[in-house]
Amino acid sequence: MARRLPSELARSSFGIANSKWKKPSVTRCYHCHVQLAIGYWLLAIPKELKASSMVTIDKISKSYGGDVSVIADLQLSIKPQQVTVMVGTTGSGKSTLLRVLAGLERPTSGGIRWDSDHGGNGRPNLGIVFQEPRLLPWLNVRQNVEFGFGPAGHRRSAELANEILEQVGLRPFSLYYPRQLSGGMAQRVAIARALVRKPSLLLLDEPFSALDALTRSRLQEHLMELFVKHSLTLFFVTHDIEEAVALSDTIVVIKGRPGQISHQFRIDLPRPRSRHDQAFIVWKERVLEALTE
Amino acid sequence: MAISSLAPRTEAVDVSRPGIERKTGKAPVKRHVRLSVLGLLVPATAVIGWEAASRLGWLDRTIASSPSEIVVEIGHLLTTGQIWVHLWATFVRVFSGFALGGAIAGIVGALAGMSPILYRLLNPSIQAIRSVPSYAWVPVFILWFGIFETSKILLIALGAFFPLYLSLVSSIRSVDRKLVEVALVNGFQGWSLARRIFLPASLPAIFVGLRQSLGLAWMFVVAAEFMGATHGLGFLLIDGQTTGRPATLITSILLFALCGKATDGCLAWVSERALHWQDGYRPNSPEARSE
Repeated sequence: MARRLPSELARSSFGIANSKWKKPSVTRCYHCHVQLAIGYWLLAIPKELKASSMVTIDKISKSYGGDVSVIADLQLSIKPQQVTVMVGTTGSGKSTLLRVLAGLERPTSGGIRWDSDHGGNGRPNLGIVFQEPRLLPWLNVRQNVEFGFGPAGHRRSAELANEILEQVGLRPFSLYYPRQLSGGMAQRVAIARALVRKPSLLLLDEPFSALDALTRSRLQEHLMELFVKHSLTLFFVTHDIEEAVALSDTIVVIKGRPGQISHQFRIDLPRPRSRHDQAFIVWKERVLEALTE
Repeated sequence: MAISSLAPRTEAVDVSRPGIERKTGKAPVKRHVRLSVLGLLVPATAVIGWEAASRLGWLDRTIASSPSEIVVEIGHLLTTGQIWVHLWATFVRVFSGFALGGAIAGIVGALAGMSPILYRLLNPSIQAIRSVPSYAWVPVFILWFGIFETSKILLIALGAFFPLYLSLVSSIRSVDRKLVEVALVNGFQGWSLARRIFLPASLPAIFVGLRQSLGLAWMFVVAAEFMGATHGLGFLLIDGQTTGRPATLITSILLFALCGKATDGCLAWVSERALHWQDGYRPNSPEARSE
C-alpha cells in the first residue's frame, strides 16, 4: 500500500491511462522507477501547498434579468485557516459573491469547487454572519444560538451552545429576547449562531458596518480570538479598508460594474496589529490606491 | 486575556427581569382605577337617566322598557335556568362554526400563502365568494342544508373563514426574506422551515385574524339563529320582538355584548402571552392599556 500510493499519485498527476498501471509490482520496468521517484517527490510536498485552497471560485458571473451583470468571470481561491477579506465599493458585487458561496443564489455561469479535504462531497459546513444580526425575534438568545444547529441537532448540543455563549460573553443574557439587546450584543449572538455549526468556512458580510467605532474594533479583536481558537477559515466582505488590513491574511480588491478582481495583496503583518504602525498605514494607503486608481 | 473578559460590560440593558416587561408602580395603578371609573361615567348616567325617564312617563314602556325591568328579566331567566339553555345553544354554534371555519382557513391559507401556484389557483375564487353579502347565503344554506344545526354552523364557519384566511395569506407572503435566508443557510427546509420560521413569523397576524373571525362568528350566529331556532340568544331576540317584550330584546343584546367581549378578551389574553417577544410600540401608560 505504501508503495502503491506514490505511483497512483504520479499516475493521476500525469494523466496516464489507469489500465496500463494496474499491477506495477510484478515486473517493474525502467518507466516504473521514474514514476515512483516522481511519486515520492510529490509526497514530500508540504500539505498546505497541496491543499492550497478550500474553495475555488471558478469564473463566476451573476446577472439579474439578463442585462445587468453584477459580477463577471470572478476567479478566486480561499485558503484554509486564513482570513480572506474582500474590499470593494458599494455595488461592486461583493455581497453577491458571498451569497453565491452561501448557496443563496445561483451563479449565471461558472462554478464553485470545494476541496474535498474540508467538506467531504459538495458543500462543506458553512456559517454566515450578515450585515444585520437577523436574529429570530421570537427566540431568546440561547434558542437563537441553538438555531445554528439546524433542524436535526437540538438535543446533542446544549453544552456547545453554552460554551460558545460563554466565549462571546453572552452567557448571562441567555434568556433575553432580541428586542432587549444592543446592536453589538445582537451581532455577537449572530456570530455565536454561526460558530455552533463548527463551520469549515465562515462567511461574513460587512458584519460590523452598522456598529459604532468602539464596538466595531472590540468585535474585530474578538473575532480574531475566535479565529485562532477555532482555527477558522474566514471570508470577510467589507468596504472598510482599515478593517480589511487589521484582519486579513489576503486582501482581494473588487471593483467596477460588473465587479471584477483588480488586485490581491498578501498582508504579512504580525498579529495583533496596531493601527498606528507605519507598516499598517502603508498597507492602508496601498489598498486605498488600488481601490481608487 | 480570557475571551469572555472582552465582553462589553457597558452595554446597558435592564437585567432585572429578562423577557418580562416591568410592572408599573403603585401610583400609576391608582391612576388606572381613577381612569376606569371615568369610562363608566357615561353608561352610568345613561342608565340612571333612562330609568328616571321611564318612571316619569317620558318613555313608552312597551317599547323602551327600563333598566329595572331588564334586571327583573335577567333574574327571571336566571331563576328558571333558561339563560343557560340559550347561552349554551349559542356558544355551541359559535364555537363549532368558528372552529370549522378557522381550521379550513388555517389549512387553505397556509397552502395558498406558501405556494404561489395554489395562490393563483384559489385566491380569485375565494375573493369572489367573500364579496357576497353574508345574508345572501341564508336562503341558499336553508335550501342546501335544511333549517337545523348543519346550515347554522356552516353559515358561521363561512363567516369565520375569511378574516383568518386573508390575514394568514398576506402574513405568510410577507415573511421577512432575511429570516428565511438565515433558516436556509442553517439547513431548514420544507416542514421544518414552515414550523420554525413561517408559523412564528405570521403568528401576530394569525391572532388578529382569529379575533376578527371570532367577531364575525358572533355576527353570523344572529343571522343563523334568525333562520329558525328554538334556543339561543338570537332566538331570544326574535321571541322578544314577536311577543312584544322589549326587556327580553335588550337583555339578549346585552348578553351578546358580554359574550363577544369575554371571548375576545380570552383570545387577546392568549395572544399577548404568545407574542410577548414582539418589539412593537407598547406604551406603559395606564390610559393606553385600559381600553
